[in-house]
Amino acid sequence: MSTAPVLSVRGLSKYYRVKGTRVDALAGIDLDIRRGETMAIVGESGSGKTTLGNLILGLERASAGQVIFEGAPLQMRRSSALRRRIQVVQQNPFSTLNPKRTVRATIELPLRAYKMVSRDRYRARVGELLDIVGMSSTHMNRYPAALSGGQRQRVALARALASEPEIIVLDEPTSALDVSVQARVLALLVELQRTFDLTYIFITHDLSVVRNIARRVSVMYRGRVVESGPTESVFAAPRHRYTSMLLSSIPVVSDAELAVKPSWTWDPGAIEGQGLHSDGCPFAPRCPHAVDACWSDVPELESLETAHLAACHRPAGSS
Amino acid sequence: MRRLFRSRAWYKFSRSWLSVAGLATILVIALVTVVAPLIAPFPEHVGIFVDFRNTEQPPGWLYFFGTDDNGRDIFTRVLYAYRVSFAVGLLVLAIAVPVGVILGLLAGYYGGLVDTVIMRTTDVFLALPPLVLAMAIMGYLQPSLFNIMLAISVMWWPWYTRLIYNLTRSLRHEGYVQAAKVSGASDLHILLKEILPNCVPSLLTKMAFDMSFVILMIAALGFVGLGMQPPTPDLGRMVAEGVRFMPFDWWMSVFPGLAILILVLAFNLFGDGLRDMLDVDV
Repeated sequence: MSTAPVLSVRGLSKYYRVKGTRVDALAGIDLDIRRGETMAIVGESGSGKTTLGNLILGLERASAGQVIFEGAPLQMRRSSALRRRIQVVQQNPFSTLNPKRTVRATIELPLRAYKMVSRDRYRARVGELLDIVGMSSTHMNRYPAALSGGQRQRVALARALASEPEIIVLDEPTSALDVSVQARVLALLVELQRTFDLTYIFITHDLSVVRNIARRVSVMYRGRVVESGPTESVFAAPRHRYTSMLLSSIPVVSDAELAVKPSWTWDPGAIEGQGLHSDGCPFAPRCPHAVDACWSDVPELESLETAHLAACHRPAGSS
Repeated sequence: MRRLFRSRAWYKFSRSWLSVAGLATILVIALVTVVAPLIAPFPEHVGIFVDFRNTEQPPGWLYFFGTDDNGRDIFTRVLYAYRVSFAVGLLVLAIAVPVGVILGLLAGYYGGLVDTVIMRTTDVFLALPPLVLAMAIMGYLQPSLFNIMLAISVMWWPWYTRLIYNLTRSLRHEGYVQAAKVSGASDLHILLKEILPNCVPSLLTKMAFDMSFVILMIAALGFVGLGMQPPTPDLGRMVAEGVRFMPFDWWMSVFPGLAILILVLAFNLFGDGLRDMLDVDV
């Protein structure tokens, strides 16, 4: 398991210019993803999770830093052979499929573009792929309008699998689905990972999903990784205050669940502090434990135990 | 055909009887113009023809719309003038739409310098009043069918570039466009197979409305004498020439004028129906 990472991200940054001011969507993040694992990327809206996915997929150009795939840097402009190996399932089932194209045309596109099978096998292969994601060949000539949200995500997954990728970026693949459909899609993802030896980068804001599917988790806040480690360790003993806050905000229904939840003292001032700018830790304006250093120095991502990292001047459990 | 009438789209279109009336009118006029040589009562009146015994006859059973100062049947001439209006309208769109669509797709998709060059060029064209520009071109060239078409097309493509540019700008961020890139699609595939099909509803609707504008424009050019040259019948010129005989020989101007009104109105109503059916903004 602990071989060299299949995909590494080093100092990856993305700036946007909005009316003359610089907005950092990603402010220099590092990640290592090992072959065959599921790495969850967790964060709230605007934390840069989707930007990270787009940079890995080559849909946007990085402002600084690198994505390294199997030891070689991966550019935005990449060969079709490289592009094929990292695929995506997007968040919104209503925009991920072209309303004017049939299921068959959608899934056939990567087969054609990457020359996956010979021309006379397209139809048969589309049928196989639909079967793999739990749909039938009768859906082949349907338009997306005739499919449910769950079915659309399955078609999107079939399209991703058509390229026979090694890595799939799952950008909140279930967040727009009903809970019952969500569970089935997640089960399918786990099964496919085993069958095809896939590596997942699972972008989500839903922590309960993370616990079920990911071996490791990285928590992002305002374009930085603030905490990273094995899922059990991060969930059981969160070190960064932001992670604590996230975990404490999972709704629970039983005392048993409540017992394992980190406590969080809400500071009313924290909400007001959201708009404030911090030169140091990005979370300082919302953090009840912030000290002067938090406002001035950016905390480094440091190892607290083996494999469990946090970027915090005053991590939980240390003082 | 049965499938069309049972489809959801037709249902939405047919809910407004005015749109259906517009479509029916267009179809009837189109049919009439196609078979004009067979049904026109006096086909010989289209060209150079003088009948001094029957000049300025009021509308009646022999001459439905009356005759002009040369004794020519106005009904026959209106039918033939419709042919010209229709043909020029369709040809203008056949030139302006492909040019506008291609430039709009390129500018919207690639952005940067391509965007700047193409869109600033459209700004220059759109800043000039279309009729004035067309008149300038027509004044410089010989008035002929081909030149009228050319002059109107030159001012018309920028509207399509604008329309497609704006659509492309928003569609290129759609999930399926991004997904197509990840699926290894070429730019050509993305432009023609992913983006363009989603522009078609807006495009069709705009084309329906533009048919009426182009027909009006041809009439306006004809009215000021820069349209089709005599003896070819031209609705605008017929209105202009009839004005001299107003108000006593009113039919010379009124019937060609009504003919313009009906065709323009029909295309507008049809465009309204399409817009509601396809649920687009133009």
